[in-house]
Amino acid sequence: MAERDRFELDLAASLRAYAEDAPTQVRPTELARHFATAYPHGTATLGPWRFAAIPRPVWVLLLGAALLAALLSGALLVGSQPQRRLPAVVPPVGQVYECPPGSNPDEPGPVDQARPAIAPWASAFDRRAGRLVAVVIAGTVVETWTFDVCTNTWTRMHPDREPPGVDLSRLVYDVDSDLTIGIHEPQGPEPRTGRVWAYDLEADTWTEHGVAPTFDTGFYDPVSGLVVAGGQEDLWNYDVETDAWTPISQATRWEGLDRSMYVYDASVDRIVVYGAVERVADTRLFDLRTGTWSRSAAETPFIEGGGIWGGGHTIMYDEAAERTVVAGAFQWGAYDATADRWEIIYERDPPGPAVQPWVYDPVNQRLLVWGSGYRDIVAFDLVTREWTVLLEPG
Amino acid sequence: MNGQAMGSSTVASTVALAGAGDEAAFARLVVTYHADMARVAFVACGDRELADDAVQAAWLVAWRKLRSLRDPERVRPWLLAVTANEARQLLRRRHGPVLEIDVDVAADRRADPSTGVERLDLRRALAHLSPDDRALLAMRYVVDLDSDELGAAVGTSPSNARTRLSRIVDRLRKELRDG
Repeated sequence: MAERDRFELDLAASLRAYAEDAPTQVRPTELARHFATAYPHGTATLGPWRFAAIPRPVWVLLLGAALLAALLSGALLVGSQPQRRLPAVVPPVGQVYECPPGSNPDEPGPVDQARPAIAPWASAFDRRAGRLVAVVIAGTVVETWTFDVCTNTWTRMHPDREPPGVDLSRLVYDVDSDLTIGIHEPQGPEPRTGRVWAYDLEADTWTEHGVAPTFDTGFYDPVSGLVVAGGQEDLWNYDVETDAWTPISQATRWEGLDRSMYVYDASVDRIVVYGAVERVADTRLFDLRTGTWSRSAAETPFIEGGGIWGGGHTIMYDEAAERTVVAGAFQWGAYDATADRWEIIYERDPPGPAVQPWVYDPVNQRLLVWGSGYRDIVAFDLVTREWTVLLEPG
Repeated sequence: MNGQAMGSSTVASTVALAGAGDEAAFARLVVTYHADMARVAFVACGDRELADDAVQAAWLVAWRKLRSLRDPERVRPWLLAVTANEARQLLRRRHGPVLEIDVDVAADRRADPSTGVERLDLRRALAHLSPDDRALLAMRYVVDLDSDELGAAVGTSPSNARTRLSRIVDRLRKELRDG
């Protein structure tokens, strides 16, 4: 944690004083006794180890009921398959790097390699270079790293200058200009003005562009060739080459969705917006070409592990599986926009150290996933559901 | 007393025993972590009774699920996260989605002599935050979780937790200083 300023010190002292009114009294022994009596371990649920105690006639009835339920649920499931609501669209997304002959992307990288000391603040995949570009912010120190998905190795880059520290938006790789874009939101009083920063991996240079009307980046739109940026209040097209911003008509405000996030879903050429209020989640789609919104009829699952406020989710589009993936630390969901259907694809139970995908690797067509220590990396192939260790914890 | 009072090996063995149903071990965890959980719940709820209920509910969750905790050394952030979740659910059930923290003007029109921040102002500012954001503030500034623990508690990366916290603090800074 960065050193606290005067305000934070005052805030901490005031909060601690305020929290003195908390009801901290408890009788530990009595509480433990109460739970042990009311909820004795091993009897709260009917686990499989207790089936042997069930009389044979009941067994038969139970099995029959289970078979009937399975048949009914199967029939319901098949009967409720939604029809394809939107035509499948796969716009061109530009040239993708191919691993050189002889390389083995499934072989873990050297375990003793240098790697970021902490999890990157933001990252994007440079499709032409076949490398992940990551910005690491440790206190006031900013570092630029790349991760080669053909050799599974990190490289610390040494550009002459780097964006200032917090807050840098998430990064977006712009295919047309072959640049990775981020917006820096300066600290300090309102009104603040963001600046665009662009990283050229080939030249290893960060360049400061002009003023940004928003502090959030979104995705690269392969149809228009522009970067889409902004959030719930506003949405913009950004032309990296001309440094020009244009508001997107009708795209403002997706009311009722708190802490929403969005991504471009190439399978239907729509922006998919996932959000939730408290634990009630919703999916909406925005057509950039016509400026129209639609609401998914699918039951949207609340993805667990996005933090107690939901801000810890990540969202990405899996090009191979043609699914939008929303991931929390404990649960991932995949949305098939062409069928308007959600599916939980991964669950960790119990909650523990986060393991979460953070970017899609178009070279090997799989998700790059943080290991539990935020220093190790694994890959998850959504099509085959296979895991591959790319980098062991160092 | 808090989690730092136990060595890591003691924490691990205590959690393992408590998860297996050992009442004495569970009571030790209660002694160690209850006050921190109550403080987080109180800041999240703004109400003593609700906070008390939230912590009781959190201990019941702990009793049932401790055995499934894979990293016992993370028990403190885990318990605090469970508490925050219970606090949020209780608030929602009793107050609906919008929370009005009851502000007692007479009692709160006093400044903390060490900071000059009036409790009334602080409570009003807190009332504008979501219960989860208030819980996050409490985890950081009242019970002193570090970035890693905050990340573990809220199910995100340490950097994401820092970002969120920074935005909440910026909002309070604006409200309490300029407000």
